[in-house]
Amino acid sequence: MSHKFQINLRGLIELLSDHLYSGPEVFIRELLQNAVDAIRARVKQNPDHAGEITLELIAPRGKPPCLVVTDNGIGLTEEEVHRFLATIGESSKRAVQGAPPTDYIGQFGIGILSCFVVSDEIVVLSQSAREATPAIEWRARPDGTYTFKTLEGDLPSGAQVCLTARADAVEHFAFERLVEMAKHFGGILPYPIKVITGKRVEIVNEHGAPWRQEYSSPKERTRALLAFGRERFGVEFFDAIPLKTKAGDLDGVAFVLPHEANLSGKRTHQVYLKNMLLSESADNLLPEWAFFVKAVVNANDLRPTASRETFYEDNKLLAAREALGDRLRAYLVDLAEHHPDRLQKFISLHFRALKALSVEDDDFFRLFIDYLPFETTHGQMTLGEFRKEHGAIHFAPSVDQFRQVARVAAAQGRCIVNAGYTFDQELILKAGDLLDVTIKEVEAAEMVESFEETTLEEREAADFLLNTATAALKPFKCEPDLRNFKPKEIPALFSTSREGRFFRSLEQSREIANPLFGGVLDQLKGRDRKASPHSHLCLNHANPLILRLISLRDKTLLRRAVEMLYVQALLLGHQPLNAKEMTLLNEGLMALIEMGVARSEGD
Amino acid sequence: MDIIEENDSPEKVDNLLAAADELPHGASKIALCEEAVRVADSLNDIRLAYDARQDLVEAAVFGGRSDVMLVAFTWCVAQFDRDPEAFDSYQLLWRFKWVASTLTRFPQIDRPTIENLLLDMERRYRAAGATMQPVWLKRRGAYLDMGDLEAAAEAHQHYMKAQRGDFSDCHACEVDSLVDYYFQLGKNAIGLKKANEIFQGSLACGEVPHRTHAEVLMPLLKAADAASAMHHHRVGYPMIKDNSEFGRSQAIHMAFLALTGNDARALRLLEKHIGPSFDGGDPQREFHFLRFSMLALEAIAERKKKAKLRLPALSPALEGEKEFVLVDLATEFRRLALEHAGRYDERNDNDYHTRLVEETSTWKKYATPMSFTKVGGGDPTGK
Repeated sequence: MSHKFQINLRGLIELLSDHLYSGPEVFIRELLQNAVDAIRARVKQNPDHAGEITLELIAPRGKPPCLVVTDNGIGLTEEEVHRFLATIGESSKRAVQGAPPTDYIGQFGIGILSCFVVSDEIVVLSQSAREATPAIEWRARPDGTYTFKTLEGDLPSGAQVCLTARADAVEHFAFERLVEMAKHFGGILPYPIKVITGKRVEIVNEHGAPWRQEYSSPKERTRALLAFGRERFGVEFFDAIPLKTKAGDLDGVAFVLPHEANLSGKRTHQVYLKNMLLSESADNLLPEWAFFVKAVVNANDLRPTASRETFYEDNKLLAAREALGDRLRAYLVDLAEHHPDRLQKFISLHFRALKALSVEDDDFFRLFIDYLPFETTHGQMTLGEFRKEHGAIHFAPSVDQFRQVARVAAAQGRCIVNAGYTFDQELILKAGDLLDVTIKEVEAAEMVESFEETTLEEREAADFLLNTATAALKPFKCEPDLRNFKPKEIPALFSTSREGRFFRSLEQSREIANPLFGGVLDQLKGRDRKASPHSHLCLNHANPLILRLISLRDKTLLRRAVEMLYVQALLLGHQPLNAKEMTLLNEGLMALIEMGVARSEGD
Repeated sequence: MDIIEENDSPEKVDNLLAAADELPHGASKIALCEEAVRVADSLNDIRLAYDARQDLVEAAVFGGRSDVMLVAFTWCVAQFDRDPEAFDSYQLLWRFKWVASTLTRFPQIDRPTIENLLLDMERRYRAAGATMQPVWLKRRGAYLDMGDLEAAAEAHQHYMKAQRGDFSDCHACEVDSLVDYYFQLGKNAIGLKKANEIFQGSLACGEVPHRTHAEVLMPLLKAADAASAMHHHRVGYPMIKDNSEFGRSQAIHMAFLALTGNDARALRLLEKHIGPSFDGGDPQREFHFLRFSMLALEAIAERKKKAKLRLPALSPALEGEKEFVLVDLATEFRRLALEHAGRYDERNDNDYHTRLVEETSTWKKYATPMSFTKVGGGDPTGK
């Protein structure tokens, strides 16, 4: 035979309050939500009905405080009580079997039971506005039992929920706390919510959503919205952008952050669903590039995720996100076209966001690119300034390459853009495509190639040096070259490519690797990397020491000298030495000292 | 912005790593971590160099540079083994999982090495008192990658029996790897069911559901549910378009567009994503990119003769910006895909990858015209 599960309601409630609900205060949210749903149902029946919700706190001396939440909504019949209040997992909102629920409570049907987190009894009194049925009373206890009876007289249509504070939940039954919670969850609801105790009455949503009010001018509205932002987040925002989209039936406000925003940080927004607070950490509402704003919005036509943290990724959300993106884009374009001073300020804070958007959007790119700052060998400048001064854009595609070329370029008076940061390379490539400008990638090795070549005679004279150097540098996958370059104080310049850098770090790890990982690296290296040398040592023909080495014929000494030049060039280029190079340095120093000592002893 | 100009110092390492931390995953983030490693090395500060490399390992994994990751991780393991008390063993063991799922991507790394690495992982996990669940998960993944479905199924049995522990992947990742497992075994219905658990339950982490949206595209087309597939394309593509680590996902989205007749859009994705996918960081990504490009171009070539494209120099035939005859281009991609497949098959001692290329080519028969319109309208998952 089949049996039914015995559900321990108290255990279940504890589980829910620990894991599902973010805190005990959500009982207020669930009560408000029930009231709102009931009012909405009644308004549907009678469009002229004026909904109202009251939270009355009754605190008799010497007894635990009680809370009575009253709404003038549709109310419940006996049959509905058994079906909705007393069946976990059922809800009046789960209209179609199997359809994804449109609402969180609908999803679990435990809304009102969350009150057990703060009260040992839930009493519901109700009169249905739908049918001529008697008023009812429902009393539930956390052990899973409930009593039901019909009442004699009539009650006003709607429902009343009465809770008595449990000893450990008294702090939630204080007037200020109730106002705070009701405001938090229901501050923008269109039906007045009154919190009452004795003679004190406070309407928590008197002004509703600040972005829905009428203002005498746009300036006035901005001022009011900024004040709202200050109150809500304690932040003096840079600007406030009103939002409204058809998709998702959404409205609200986007605050422009007054500080730089972190590109990889979590962007959270405060979202309301049908005017009830859904989440303070929705992170998928706006397009990726919009990380310069914090938004507060209400959506009437988006679906929340089960965790209730954000909206479900469906086509409605996609369309809403697109529309919100258009709105923010329009704001920026307006800033660029009509408020150049504010634009400057905005750029200094949020140029990364503009870069992100410029990568995606060609029109936007054309409008903004010349305002955006880049790092160059002559310091930071906007691309507009750079183009005016230098015409063609020469850029290094990574920070490492920029570092390598920066010193040499500086010595030669060339200006090069560091395109090693996120977006920068894409933007410069795009400039090459969309603007009338030549772009050229500069690699350290290539930079060396732009140095003045030595003449044939000069090369022939240096034959012995170059041959010795070729042999000495071979184990390091490095090839020598001889050119004239500035500054002449530098005898030799080390340059490497991406491949070269990878090879160097691989060697470095290989030196200390255990056999297993050493084997991994050996096999990894075996892939078809180019056979060409990984790095170059460019000897400076303008340097006096190099000139003297050219005429030197002592092969041992010359080899030592080249090795030391190599190590010195590495150090000059801030390249960490691997063990082999370190040995070279140590042995070389010792040998040179010995030679010096031997010579002076021979004197 | 001017960290690069600073003199080498421990602060500079910190500044570089902090700057890297602010960046999204990708080449720039990796470059800043590499620069931090270089500075720490030149200061001869092993601890600092270790920390910088730990960051580099992470940036490289999530930025699609498995080669860079292996080199940096090797150094860390060596330093760790020299002086285990000096470093954080949890972080190292966690990263071990990444290494374990990376080796199979390089065809030049042989099977004994891969199995030895998994044994080493097992040994280290046992020594740390960790559960074997992550080890079996990585074994299953490695055997799947090597086309040894029998060994993968055996590892799967162990995995299902093992307990979750401190080193287990997050729930989202675990369900996602089950999705992969079922799809690769051809059990598409159950794979889709598992994927829906991710979508409906909103399971999420750094890479899920990003990649999941792409993985369901072909199974959904096979199940004649192009409308749902279009939904997942719209939702999933923006999540993966900016990071070449997701090259496989990008390629699947491209092939999906081609199979639904959105030719211009498909070709645009091809041009945009092919270069970054071939940065040398992950040959397996290259392989998948090639076979899905082949599929896309074979599909488009049935309707369209030529197209002007700019492609990187993967082979002499592809280089530069020019008018390509699409049939020829598809043939060239097939040749390159088979070349890659051959390398894997040689290592794996089977013909799994070659067969996969041939099978991919047959998916043209699931082509279902459905135009990519701007969003709006009904939600295809809502039925």
